[in-house]
Amino acid sequence: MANDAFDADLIVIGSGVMGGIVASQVAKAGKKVIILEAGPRVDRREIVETFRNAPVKLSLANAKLQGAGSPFPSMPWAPSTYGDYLQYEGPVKYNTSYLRVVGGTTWHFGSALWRMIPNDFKIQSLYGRGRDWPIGYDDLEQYYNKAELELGVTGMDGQDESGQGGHPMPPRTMPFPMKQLNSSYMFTTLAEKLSVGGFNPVLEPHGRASRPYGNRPVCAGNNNCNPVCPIGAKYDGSQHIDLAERHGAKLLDNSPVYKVEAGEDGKITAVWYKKPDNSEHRLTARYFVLAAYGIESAKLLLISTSDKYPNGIANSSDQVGRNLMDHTGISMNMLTKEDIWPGEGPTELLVYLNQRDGAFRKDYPSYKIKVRNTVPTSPDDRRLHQEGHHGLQARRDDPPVFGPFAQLGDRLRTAAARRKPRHAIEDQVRRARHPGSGPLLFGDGLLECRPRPWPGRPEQDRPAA
Amino acid sequence: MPSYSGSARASSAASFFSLCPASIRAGLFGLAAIAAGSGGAFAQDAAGSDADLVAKGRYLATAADCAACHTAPDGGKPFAGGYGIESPLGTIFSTNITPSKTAGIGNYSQEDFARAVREGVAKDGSHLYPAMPYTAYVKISDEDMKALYAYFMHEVKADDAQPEKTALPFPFSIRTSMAFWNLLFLDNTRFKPDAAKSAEWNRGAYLAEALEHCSTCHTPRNELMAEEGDKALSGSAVGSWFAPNITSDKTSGIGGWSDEELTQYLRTGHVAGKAQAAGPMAEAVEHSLQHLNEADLKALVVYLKATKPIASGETTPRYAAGKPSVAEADLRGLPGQAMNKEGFHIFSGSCAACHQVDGEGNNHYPSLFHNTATGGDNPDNLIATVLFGLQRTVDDVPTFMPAFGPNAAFTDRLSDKDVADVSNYVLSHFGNGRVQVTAADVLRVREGGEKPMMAEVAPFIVPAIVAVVILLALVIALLVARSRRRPAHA
Repeated sequence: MANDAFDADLIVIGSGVMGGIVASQVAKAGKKVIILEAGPRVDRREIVETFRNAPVKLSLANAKLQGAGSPFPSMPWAPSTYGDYLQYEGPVKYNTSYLRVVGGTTWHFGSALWRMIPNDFKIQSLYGRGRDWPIGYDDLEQYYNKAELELGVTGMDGQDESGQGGHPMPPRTMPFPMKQLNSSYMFTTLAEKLSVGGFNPVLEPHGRASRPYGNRPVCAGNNNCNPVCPIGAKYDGSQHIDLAERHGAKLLDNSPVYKVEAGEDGKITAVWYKKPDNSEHRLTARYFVLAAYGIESAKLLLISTSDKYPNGIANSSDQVGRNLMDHTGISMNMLTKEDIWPGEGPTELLVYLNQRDGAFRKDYPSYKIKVRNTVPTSPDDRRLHQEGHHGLQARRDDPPVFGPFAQLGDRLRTAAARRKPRHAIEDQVRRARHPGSGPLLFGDGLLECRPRPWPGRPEQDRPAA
Repeated sequence: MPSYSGSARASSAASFFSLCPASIRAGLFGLAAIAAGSGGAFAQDAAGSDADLVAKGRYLATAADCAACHTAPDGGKPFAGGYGIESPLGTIFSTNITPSKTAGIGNYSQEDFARAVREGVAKDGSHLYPAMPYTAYVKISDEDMKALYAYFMHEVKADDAQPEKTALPFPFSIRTSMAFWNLLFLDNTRFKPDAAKSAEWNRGAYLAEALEHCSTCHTPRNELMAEEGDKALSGSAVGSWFAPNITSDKTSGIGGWSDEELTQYLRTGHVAGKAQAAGPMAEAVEHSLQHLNEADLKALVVYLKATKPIASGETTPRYAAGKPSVAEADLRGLPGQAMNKEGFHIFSGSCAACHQVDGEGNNHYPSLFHNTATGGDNPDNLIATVLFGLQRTVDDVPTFMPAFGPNAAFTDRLSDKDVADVSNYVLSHFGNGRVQVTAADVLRVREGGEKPMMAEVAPFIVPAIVAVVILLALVIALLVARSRRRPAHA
């Protein structure tokens, strides 16, 4: 237990997935834990309702680019990254959008939960790029198992996740905690057609429950993984904060930390945080964990200057805050000859990793092609209006088909047979349609692909995870 | 990830003690503690055990749902007990009924076993708490009792773990008081077939009355918590939940259900457009009813359709109320102008993603109209489902609704007022709009339902005795003082 000389055995700065897991493990072990979070607590239903009532619904990247904001709150003491909180210098905009709420950015992540493959640990010796890790995949394997159980990862055993269509990769000593969700009509159709062109379909491991997992219900295919899973089937960091609190951890929300204090021996002794009333508070602990995301963690270290540490804490190398990399990505739309019914199930699942590993890594880095599966409600909606359907009448004419993922396949095939649009005007699912343009060409004309006419700017997108 | 303690399970068992009818599960409480001290030797004759008899006993133990209480959830050893049941009178721990000679019933003879199961009296003569429905099990035939005994002695694996002992507060700690209760309410006779009825009806009656003990939950009880036979199966509170009227009455009971629907319900716990099993009934389906053979399920249905119809005041069947709602079109985007704004807000944010805005549900999630949880006169099952969620596994396929009460994550938890508001939205748009739910109703359900009279008066019994003693002491002191004064004045 905590020595009386300390406020806690452990103080965790940041209540996201990392901070939450550490805090819950240590709290379970009977230690006194305090978690400091700059942002507020949020209720799922409030976020769902804010999003549902929002007139504009876009992907995370477009919401940011087009100033549509996020359904998550922005506080003066923890401003949203959807506004002008982050200031950019340099030629390329850093289009990140992390969340500053209890539970952190996993609230809106697409929930991709990959393991690295063995070759990722030795790209210097294999491909002459970057650096080799001091440890290998085998050293981490048992911890991947633990993490997957902790987060509740759903995946397909036996896949070659290196994307080469070969043997199971990476090696696993434990099956996925949950079996993969059923593939949707669109994913199955696309996978069949594209395999002819040498594309090896891979179903992504992810954090949506495919069986009841703790408090999480089974993914119902609301197709609303970002910005929020309306039913809590998808993992987010708040779940570990809840667990930590059930084991006695204390969470202080709306408490941005602004200073880390180090003693003469270099050991961290205290942290300072402010409350919304601007009052300043100091807390001591035997140990500290800084888990506030790549930007906030570095920022805190850099502003924690003192006579002994004029460049900030843990910065003798002067590398703190440098070399930060975001996910980069490009979004494209495609048209198909036949209806393939996007929008069934989660917003992402089918990916192509042909370019994940190979000799090409000497010349250019790996990349993933993710088939985004969002409901094209907006164009369907516009077409319905053009055809003279309005409001509830449109809905009756074109009854919505949505619901549990496992059930949708059959219903969609029925819908496909009718060759009618299936998206309602007031249905429950995401209304976003990705604006964007540009051709996406697949092999020898298996699909008729051409730029989709769309008003607006091309999307510079960031994969959601 | 964490597996949180199942609140529905705990709360469904909240009033297990038959002083407050609670779970439909059967149990043999108190056996282990008593068996431990008894040194009687029982010559276990493994060679004489007959595989058919053991198999029959296994089926009967499933039909009587013994494991539901005597196997602790989340990985407890089969029949080793230790499941702490929160009753209004205190926590009752289920006992070890494995053939362990130190911790279980390994020293029980066939007669000892039968007496415990039928009369609630352990081998050493002490009384069991009637948490176990021995008033139902008393009807089990000698032949079946033999099979049950053979199963427990020869197939159940002995486990020497000592479950925690039950220690109810005074006066319920006096187990002998049950002797008096038994004298009043225990009819110590076996099931008597009715020659005027079909063999199928008789089989159904035996299953329902002796093994499945339907009446334990569905029959109302009197002030001393004994079943009221003239109101058999006409509905009763079961802790947080309400076990509805299942008599053959066409409006108040299940008379309007087809035989196929009833069979499907017993077998799976769900019939679209009618009802779904939650709470204790979900447990009964999961642990017991789904494992019954087709003939027995059919016999149960024949019996249920032929019970004495008892009207309990409803004007329409509770599965018939309601229709899809188009209220969202009026309420969306109009905060402040919407009727029952709070309820809509919570409904839309917490319920509609699965049950759909119009309440129609789909193949996985039940419709909120034409649903007995929303169409009856009693809203407790609606409230309890919102608070505790639903867990039911049939044919290894789990059906799950997350809890929105105290056991929900803080991101999804609803306050008592929230639950009342959303219940009222659901009732007025999809169900019986005449029923109103208050935050106090939610509190009552959250805390395990109406306490039985005996539990209510329990806290006053000791103070009352103390008060009487003090009063007596005062009177005596007064008399002594007077008698002393007299000589002084004389």
